[in-house]
Amino acid sequence: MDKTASNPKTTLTPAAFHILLALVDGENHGYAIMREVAEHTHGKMRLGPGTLYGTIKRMLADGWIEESDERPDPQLDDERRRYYRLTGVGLKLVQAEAERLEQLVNVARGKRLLRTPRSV
Amino acid sequence: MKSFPLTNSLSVSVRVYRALLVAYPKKFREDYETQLVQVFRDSFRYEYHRNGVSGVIDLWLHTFADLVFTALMEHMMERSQYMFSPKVVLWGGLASVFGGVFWLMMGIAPSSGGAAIVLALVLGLGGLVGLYSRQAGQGRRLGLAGFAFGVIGTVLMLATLWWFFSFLSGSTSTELHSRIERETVLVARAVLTIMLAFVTLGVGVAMLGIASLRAKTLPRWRGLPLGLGLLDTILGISGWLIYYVPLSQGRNPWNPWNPGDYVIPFAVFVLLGLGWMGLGITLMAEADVQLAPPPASA
Repeated sequence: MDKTASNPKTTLTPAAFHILLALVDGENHGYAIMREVAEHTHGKMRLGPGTLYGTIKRMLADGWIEESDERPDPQLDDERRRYYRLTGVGLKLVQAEAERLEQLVNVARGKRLLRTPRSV
Repeated sequence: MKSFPLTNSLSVSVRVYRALLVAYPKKFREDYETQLVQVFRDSFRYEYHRNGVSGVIDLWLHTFADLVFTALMEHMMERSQYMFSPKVVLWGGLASVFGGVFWLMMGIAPSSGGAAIVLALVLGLGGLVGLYSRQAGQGRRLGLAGFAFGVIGTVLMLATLWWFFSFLSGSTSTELHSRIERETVLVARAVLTIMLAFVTLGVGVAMLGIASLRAKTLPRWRGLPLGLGLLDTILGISGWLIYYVPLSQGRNPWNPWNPGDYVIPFAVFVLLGLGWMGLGITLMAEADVQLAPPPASA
């Protein structure tokens, strides 16, 4: 089950990574995912409806995310909305990708391309 | 900045967007139409309230580009799923078996000549499709490159053979030798192209064979495609030495005629026939066997 996540050849597209990242905090529906991605990236990454659902379709097929039947607040929400949440594989994948990016950032810092973060 | 009412513009935009969704494959539309429209509607409201007309125009431009690109992607993926279906593997295997039969026929009855070799090559294309299809994308770039090489080699060989047969058509067997001796340069070029095509086909099949081995897509007779590819490549190189070299020196390699001229082609065509038939039988036997899931990327 964890083969996909631990396989070094598994690469996430930017859209897939951002969608997984948006689901780390809990389940969400398509439009909320789209808004969160836009906010995280300060509007630089805008997922169109086709990209969003095309990626969701493939991630569902690969078992990285799953559809959730629960509604956070059924009174306030449109019942036609579909909610998605991360699976164990999806969580491992997003962690592995975040670590890979962290390593890259560290390399860039080592080459003085970026400022060293202030110690908290 | 807002110079038009939300309700009308939203309802028109949603109707237009819904109509444009026809660009997606039917299955994708059935599964996600409601969600796509809902996300578009929510985005429209957001842009309308936040940025007015310019936001709505920007949303439309972005959504339209996204629709065109992703509709193309979805169609390509749908087709690739069809390409990787067990039916294609099965039919490809069957074509390969018959292709092998025609190679055998070339060895046993050389008089079957042109028609048999053309049929063997065309049916061999089916075998290539079956072998590539069996990899279901797990052969990655090596599998795709091997498939492309195989197709290019076969098409090149068919085109050259077509030219060669039209060049020699109407000649009796006695005229054939004198014609070859008169036109050695031209015949040498055709032979060189055929041998090059043979090597290209062989390299392609060998690459597909390596991709199959790596992806473990043929549990039984797993080394067969690689062996067949190497055989094609060796034959291409041998043919270059046996036929092209003398021709390029102005000699007719088929004259004087000796028994070896029968034995070598017989062995070659029988080996090719058995190889393609074996590949076909393997593909037919494995067509429905489930592959282990690949390390996919979304």
